[in-house]
Amino acid sequence: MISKPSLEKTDETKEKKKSHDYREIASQVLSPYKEMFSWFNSFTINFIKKDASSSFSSSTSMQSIFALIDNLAPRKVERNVRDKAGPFFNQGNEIGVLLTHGFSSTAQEMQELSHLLNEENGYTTFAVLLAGHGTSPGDLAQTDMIDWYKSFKEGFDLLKQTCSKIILVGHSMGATLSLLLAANEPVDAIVTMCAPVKVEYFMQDYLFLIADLLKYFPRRKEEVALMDKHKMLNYRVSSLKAVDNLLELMEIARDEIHKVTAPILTITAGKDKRVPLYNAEKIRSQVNSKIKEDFFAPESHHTVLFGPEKQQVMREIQRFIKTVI
Amino acid sequence: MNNKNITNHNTEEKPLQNDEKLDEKTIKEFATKRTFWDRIPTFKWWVTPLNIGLICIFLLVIDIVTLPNTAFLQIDWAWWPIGGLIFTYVVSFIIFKRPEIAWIVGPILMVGASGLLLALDLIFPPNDGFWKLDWAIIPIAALLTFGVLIPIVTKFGRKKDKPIDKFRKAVEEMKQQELEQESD
Repeated sequence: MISKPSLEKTDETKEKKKSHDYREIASQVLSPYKEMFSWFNSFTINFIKKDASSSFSSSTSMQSIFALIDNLAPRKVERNVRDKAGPFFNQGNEIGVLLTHGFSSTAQEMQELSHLLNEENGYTTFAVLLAGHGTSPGDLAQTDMIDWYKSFKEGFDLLKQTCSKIILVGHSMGATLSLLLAANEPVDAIVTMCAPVKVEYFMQDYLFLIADLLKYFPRRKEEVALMDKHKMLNYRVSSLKAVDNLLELMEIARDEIHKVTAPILTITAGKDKRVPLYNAEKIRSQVNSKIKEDFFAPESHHTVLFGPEKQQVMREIQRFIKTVI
Repeated sequence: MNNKNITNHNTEEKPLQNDEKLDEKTIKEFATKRTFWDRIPTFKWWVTPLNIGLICIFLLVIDIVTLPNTAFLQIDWAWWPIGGLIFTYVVSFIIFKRPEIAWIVGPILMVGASGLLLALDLIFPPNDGFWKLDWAIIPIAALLTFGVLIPIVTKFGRKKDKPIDKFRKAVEEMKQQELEQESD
């Protein structure tokens, strides 16, 4: 008599447990799709806002639809340089330091280093703004590696007018460009920070095909968080066409790098997920410089100038310039 | 590119100012020299979809007012021209707005159209031809050849300059420009 209801109860609890299990399984199965949906939303939102400082979570479905339409038929491309993103020049002595930012970044990235080199060492510093950067991802998509090189070369020519000795300091893609310039123009020293010459991206050989369909791709969450934290003006989305151009730039660098003869300092970051450590080894082994030095920042990410070891990195750059000049 | 003017962050271009005023005769001459394509008027974005909508309504009305009205929602045949119109509009819209994705959007839609033709042919008898198909094999073959295979093959087979060649050419051009500027 007593056992029946208790049995029923246990059945109910079992059913509840079962349904709970099913829910758990369903949620587990659906979680990647949820992630994918949030990715899609964040991508479209960043796109529609022309990648303003938007967080990944804030989005509505309507905005997503508008963004999708916008992706099919893009509107006018914004070409005005954003506030604080432009190039800057600090007059100093006859030793000139040409600072170059990385892919999708701006000259703002080099502000602290430029200030330090100018104030403490008295060097003339010039931070260039590469073509298509500091404006909008749409603008970047319409430029290629030749445009980036030309704008960098313009900066070099300008600095050459006032300085007798020139040192190139570049971060990431800016460092690759520095290597290219050093291979074609006489420079006195090069400092490369996390310079890529060979990377392995998923389906990178077919990027030119994918770039037709998907114009922009969102940056990683942690990267965006870092950009927000340091109020960086980097683009929150990457143009796939521009990424394809970046890969071509690396290909050019691999062919030209042996021409480099100036003293070189390669800086690498231990937690760099973008540029593998073997890139620095490859650079050092292929350049024909007599002085080759390396500095390793084990706790830093790709953006070494914003990492925990930025002071050490900047001191190392100062020391290297002093020793080679 | 952006580094010529360091202090000026605003790179907005000024509108071109044309000081020379064109006289009436030149304007007339210019008008007569325009090609056929220049003379086609342009429309606001809503004109084409609205016209397509009106045509669809017209087709629906004449279908419904004529017998037998036995098919779904009393519409016997109007589904096909309406579907065809919308399909053609969507394809042409995508291809004209984003010609670079035509090589993939076109084939996908052509495969869809082939599937539709295949289904149509299989649904209606006699189904006694090759692979139970009666008439669809010819349009399907044409769609797959010209709408799917040829665009994909031509896209993959496109000639591309080597990055290093492009770079060396650009470097040479820059050096030549520098020499010209120095000689001036």
